[in-house]
Amino acid sequence: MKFSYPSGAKPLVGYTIKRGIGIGGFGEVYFAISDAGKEVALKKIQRNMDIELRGVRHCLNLKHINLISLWDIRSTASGENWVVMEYVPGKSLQDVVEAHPRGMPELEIKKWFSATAAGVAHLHKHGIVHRDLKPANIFRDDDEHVVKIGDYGLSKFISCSRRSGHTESVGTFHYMAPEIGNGVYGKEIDIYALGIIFYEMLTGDVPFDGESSQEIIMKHLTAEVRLEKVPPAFHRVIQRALDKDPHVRFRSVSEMLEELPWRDVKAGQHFVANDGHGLGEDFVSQGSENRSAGAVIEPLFVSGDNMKIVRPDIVFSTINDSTKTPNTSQRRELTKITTGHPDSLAADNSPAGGVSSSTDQDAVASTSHLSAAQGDRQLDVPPITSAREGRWNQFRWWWIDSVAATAAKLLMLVVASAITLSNVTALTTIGALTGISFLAWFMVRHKIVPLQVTMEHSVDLKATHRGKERLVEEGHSAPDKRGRYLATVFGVNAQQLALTRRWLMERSLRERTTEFLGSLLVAALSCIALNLLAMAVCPRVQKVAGSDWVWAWFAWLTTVSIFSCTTLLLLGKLWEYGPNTGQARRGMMLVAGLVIGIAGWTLADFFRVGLSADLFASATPSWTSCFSFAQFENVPAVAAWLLTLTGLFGVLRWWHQVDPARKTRLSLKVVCLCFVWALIFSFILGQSVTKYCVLAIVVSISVQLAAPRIGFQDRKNIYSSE
Amino acid sequence: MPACATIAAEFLKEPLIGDSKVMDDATFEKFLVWVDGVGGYLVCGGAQHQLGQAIADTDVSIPLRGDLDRKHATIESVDGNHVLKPLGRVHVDDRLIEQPVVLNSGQVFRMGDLVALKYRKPHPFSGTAVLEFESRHRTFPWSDAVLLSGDTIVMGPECRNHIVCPKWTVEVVLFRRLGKWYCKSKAQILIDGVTNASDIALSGNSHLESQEFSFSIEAI
Repeated sequence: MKFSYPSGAKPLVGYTIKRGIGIGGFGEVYFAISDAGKEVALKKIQRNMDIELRGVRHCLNLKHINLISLWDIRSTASGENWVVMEYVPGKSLQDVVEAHPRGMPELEIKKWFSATAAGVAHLHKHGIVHRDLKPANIFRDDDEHVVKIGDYGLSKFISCSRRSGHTESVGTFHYMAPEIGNGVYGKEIDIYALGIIFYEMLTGDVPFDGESSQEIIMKHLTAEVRLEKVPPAFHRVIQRALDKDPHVRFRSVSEMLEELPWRDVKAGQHFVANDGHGLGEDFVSQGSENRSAGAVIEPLFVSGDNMKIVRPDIVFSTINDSTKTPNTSQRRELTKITTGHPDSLAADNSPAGGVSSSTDQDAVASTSHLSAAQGDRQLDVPPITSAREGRWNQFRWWWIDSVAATAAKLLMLVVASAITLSNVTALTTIGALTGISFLAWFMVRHKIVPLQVTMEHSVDLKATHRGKERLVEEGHSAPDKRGRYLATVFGVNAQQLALTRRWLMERSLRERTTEFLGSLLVAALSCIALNLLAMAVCPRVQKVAGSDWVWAWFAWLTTVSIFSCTTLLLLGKLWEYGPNTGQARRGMMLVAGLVIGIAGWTLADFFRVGLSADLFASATPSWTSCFSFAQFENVPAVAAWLLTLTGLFGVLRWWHQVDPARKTRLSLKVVCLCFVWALIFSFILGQSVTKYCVLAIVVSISVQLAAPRIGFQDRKNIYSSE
Repeated sequence: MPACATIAAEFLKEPLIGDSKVMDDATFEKFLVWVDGVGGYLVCGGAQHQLGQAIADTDVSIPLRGDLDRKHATIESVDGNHVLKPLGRVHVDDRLIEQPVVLNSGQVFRMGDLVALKYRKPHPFSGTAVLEFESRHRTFPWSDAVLLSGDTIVMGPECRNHIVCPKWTVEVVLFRRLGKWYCKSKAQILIDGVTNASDIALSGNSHLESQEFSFSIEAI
């Protein structure tokens, strides 16, 4: 982020710049202090100066608690134009949405959305369309605990016909109404953007996403909004707000708020979407065609100490929008098209008295639906994946996060291991081929895919040259490499991961020690059980079953497994709140592999299970002998053993397997990866493969089962508490 | 190289005695770090810090705009720990204290009825602690948080950094040697227009920038 002016600069007489706040499409914004000590935000207008200044001038005298105040427009001798405005310290709604990947809590949504709606309604009341509503433009003032909308400086005064003749695209792709492409639009584009924002707050994701800007625009134009992740109580409001036809959308913000089941006012809690004109009765007695009065939009305050929502005595603005809504039959048609449940709407048009009682029921129902739906929602996944069927997503979510899935995975691994061990000779060759194929895939995955991303980026750059630079600059190109990496390994974004790490860091030493000791116990038990199982299913072992040699092998294998698990769990515990990158870790793992190798070799001597022999299989494929260290004079293959162990621990990122922030407790993919690498190393170094594979699989499964993991529900609580 | 290794390496280095590039105004105990796109941070050096109300001609090192006594509490650095000594009414984790207490990372202390600060010591290899505002109060001059500085301040994207800058990809270490502050990073940094300037002491109004970030120092 490069700013034109450093701290201490005085480009505008009377103000000293302290730091840059951000760079938007229409200019840079700075935090500055006036000579008298007033803290302000200064916005330097860089593009479309005439249009912008006209828009800002019109907004200069707007006063609303939910709008960032614009105080003045100043020009310098060098011809620069600056907007002096209120400085709002605090998080943006975008920060909050990102911290809740599966949707915000309902109370938070009420606070943010109703305050945003109040601000937008005030703009509309004065004939102004915001045109760039998005979470990044909505802030919570930490000092006053008030939600405020910013960047309405680029708002456009609506002409009398409520249609402007713009040809330049405005807004942001994800929040851009379909009709903006035509250059003919009114305040319905803000309703559309509010609908997208509401959807995002409920689900943690935007409804229309894609790998490229073109895909997003196409979805806005053609795709129906998917409501699987939205609680049923909010289906109708989302559908109408996001209708492709602006005439079918809500005609006003107040009308939109009326559709929300938030009219319940309980002691100590007042919500802004309060029905001040007996709307419910009108709606019931006169039918939807006469549903004309607007809701009272009041500014939202949140008291600082107890965070309860309180309503001030003074009502700052009122909207009485007399626009008619579509009649019942039209709306029923709409409902049929989009959900196939017209009866849900018909029920709301029941005789008098029905609504007032059903309102409360709706509120209760919405709360319960919300919590239920939040529990089922998938985590933040790449856009194409998220577009898949809901049933598949549910299964995927269960597979990642549930305990039962871990048991199922374990069972699958045991069965697969049993089949493998009982057909070692045949499967060894197949395994080698699989390993080579995997390597090929791995190379393609890591070399070709980044190239594709680069190409997509260049497509976006072309869009920049077509006059849409602002939209592209604001970060809606394909997700970056680190983002994909975090999503794959941890299922979260960087900010969420940082919050989890911070939470982990703040735990006491005692707590962490207890957790570590518990993990050791589980790992030890798991190693014993899995090694016993390996012995039990291996046919060659069964031939010599009962001999001391078998038990010596078992003791050796178990001891080495437990030692490996202890090392990994200890390192994982030390690294659990650190960053997940760096070659230092890999170096440490190489050293750990070497230490485990030396310990294993010493123990083999102690248990008298010569490493050149193998309990599980009798021969190694002859074609690997050219690489072999093991064939010389039949001495214990110490070098090969050490190299294999060092390589196995150095190549794989074992710390991911013990990371409390990992995506799933037991990952089949990771276990398979361990198997493949063990296979590759033992082949290259001419070792008999089975003992390495058994060791790698046992250690991998044991550490994953033993290492603690923070479930996604707990993570959600962590994000909420932050 | 991770920041902890950088910190360790800095202390192993020979001091830059007689460096001709050292600027005249390079020795300062208290300053503001203005990080573009992130926030402003009040850095207080020294072993003892006084907290009190921000009134005209106050001599407390951390003046706060809140309903406080003129001198409400002190925080003293003792053997790498920070000891909070109440002069007015102070609660630590909602318990009223009358005797000095050693602060633990994550503890919240409240002065008077409303001014609440969270003590955080994020980096195991640095003596610097961070006071974050839990209540809606700020220092005077304005800042987002206060750093009780040891000899190093680490800025970067990780939560263990003293100044967390989420969009950065590298860490920047400000370190103090012989009373002067220097800067080190893997990124190529321009310090007041001079490249590769890790051996130049920062002045009281230095501006530092790289391809991806920029920040300024303002001595008080």
